[in-house]
Amino acid sequence: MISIRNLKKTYPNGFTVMENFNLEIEPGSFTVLVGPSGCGKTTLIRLISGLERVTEGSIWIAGKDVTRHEPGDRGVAVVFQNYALYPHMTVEKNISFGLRNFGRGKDEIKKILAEVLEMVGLTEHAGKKPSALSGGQRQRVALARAISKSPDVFLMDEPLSNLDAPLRAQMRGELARLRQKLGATFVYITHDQAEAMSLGDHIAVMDGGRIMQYGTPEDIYDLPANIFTARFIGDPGMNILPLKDGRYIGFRGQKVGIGRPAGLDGIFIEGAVSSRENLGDAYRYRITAQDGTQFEMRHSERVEVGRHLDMFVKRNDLHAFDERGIRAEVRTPGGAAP
Amino acid sequence: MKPGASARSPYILILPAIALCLIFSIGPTVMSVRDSFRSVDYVAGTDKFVGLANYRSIFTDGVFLKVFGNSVVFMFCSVALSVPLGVAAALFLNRNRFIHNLTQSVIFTPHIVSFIAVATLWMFMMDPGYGILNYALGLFGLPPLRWLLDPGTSLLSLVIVAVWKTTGFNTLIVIAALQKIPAELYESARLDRATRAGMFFHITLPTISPVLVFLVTTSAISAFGTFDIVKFMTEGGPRNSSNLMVYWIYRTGFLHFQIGRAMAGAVVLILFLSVVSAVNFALMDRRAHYQ
Ligand SMILES: Nc1ncnc2c1ncn2[C@@H]1O[C@H](COP(=O)(O)OP(=O)(O)O)[C@@H](O)[C@H]1O
Ligand SMILES: [Mg+2]
Repeated sequence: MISIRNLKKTYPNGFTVMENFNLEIEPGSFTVLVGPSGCGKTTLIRLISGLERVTEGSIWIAGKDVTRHEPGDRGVAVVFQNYALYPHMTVEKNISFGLRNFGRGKDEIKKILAEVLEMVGLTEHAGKKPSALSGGQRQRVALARAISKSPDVFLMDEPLSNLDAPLRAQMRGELARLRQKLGATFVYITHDQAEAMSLGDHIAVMDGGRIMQYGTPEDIYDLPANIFTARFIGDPGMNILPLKDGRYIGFRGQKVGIGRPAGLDGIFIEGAVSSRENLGDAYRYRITAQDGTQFEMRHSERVEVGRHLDMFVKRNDLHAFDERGIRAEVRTPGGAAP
Repeated sequence: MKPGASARSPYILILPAIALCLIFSIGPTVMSVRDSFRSVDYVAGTDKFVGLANYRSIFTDGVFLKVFGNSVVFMFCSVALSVPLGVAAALFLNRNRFIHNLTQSVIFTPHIVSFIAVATLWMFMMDPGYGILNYALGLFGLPPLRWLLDPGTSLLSLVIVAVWKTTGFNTLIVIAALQKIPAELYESARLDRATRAGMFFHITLPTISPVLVFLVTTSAISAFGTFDIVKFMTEGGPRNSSNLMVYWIYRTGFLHFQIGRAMAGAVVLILFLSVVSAVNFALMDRRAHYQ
């Protein structure tokens, strides 16, 4: 549905955000862009929508090269983080303004309005101005405005990040429901990993203007393609410990066991607890291994700070990365590591 | 409230401002109203109540009505020119980042330059003999004008100077308002396929309308209160063709010592301005969108 080919973006101040950037997004998919702040997520969405000019390369939507098309002619709708509603127009006018420019007839507009307002549950608020609405309601107007144009592609830049947690969870559910109903293609930015995991059928992990990994949430979490993704995804990110041969080994804090079970296929680690934090259902421990490297452990058992522990990670829970940080086969570990 | 502060202390703090206001604003206004019903003669030392005689006198005297009319025309023309020009200039400057900074300070200069210098300059330019304005008219094959010296063009000449002086200020205020409009609104509009004109009428204008109400009101009030350019450039002439309210009050009161008539004129001025701003706010309030 969206095909980004050899894209390069240099801002007028000379800063190049991305270069040789390629991405294929399938029709009907829900792709979540995640990555550290400043990695180019917003830029990517703005390039797709046409709000930002492409420096080199091309963007194709629904089989058409739209690189030089105006934003209004690309079949995309954008939902911004701070809604970007027209402040002096009523909810109804906010939605119908675009529809009129798209050449819809009066009766048609009425029908669409009733439909989308119903869909987002704002029918009674049709006559209000945005200033009279709550944050969640405003975001719903922005959604309704996007939906009203029946675009091929929805582009959403952290649409829920201005909402408080319960509302965010509720809106997340509503988005998932909407997506089922509309069947359009979504590209969605978030820094909330739970949101990324629950909404996305694909996740693109970005860093420094590059895609570090593009795959299903399961792939990204269970089979991180590189150290960056391994560390970035998950709460907490994966522990990565350097090995003597220049390679790396990784494991998640939740997979660290306490004890020294006999006949274990995996690794043993000895270390001391350097800090503890209560998370409610578990404790977060900072462990200093014998050689001084530190890692994180999640465990339901309470252990005092300063205590020495025997710990282990099963072989199946280990990830290996080569010298360049690329995922590799886990080799038979020779006893304790690191 | 902090310890040691009493319920009275806020009033003590605003006392100086209140005092100044009483002495220089409210007091004189009350005295003006009082004097407008009296006949005061400082030379003879008489001061008596005359009822509405002063008002009757100025309204039957052709000069006052003419001056009042001049002031209304002057106010209307200068507001109708300087506000739209300010908006146009602001839109232009806001779009062109390059010249933007330099021009912004240049355009504001007339507002801060000593007024006498400005007026002198304009008098040179409007000189029927060697003025550059007539030279410019000549380039287009138009006959020269007598500008300040002709009853037909003297008021217009003052309007030009006033507009030249206030447009820069209006521009700056409008630019400030334009820059507060979030870029995302225009981006939404682009996604909504809005045209340039559509964006102006549906986003820009409604968003800056409170500022426009402010500019129209303040320019109208200051235009109606114009004194300096009249005094310095035309002295109201020729034959009162460019005479405005405040200059008339000044002349009547301080040159002819007809204090009662002058104060009656001042009261008319105050009433008129109150009506203007009330109407202005009422009319534009319905259109303007405050947030
Ligand atoms: N208009 C701009 N001009 C110059 N640099 C910009 C502009 N917009 C963004 N950038 C830079 O481009 C990089 C990517 O920004 P952005 O796409 O907003 O990142 P993200 O959304 O992932 O946080 C950042 O380093 C940012 O500073
Ligand atoms: Mg961003």
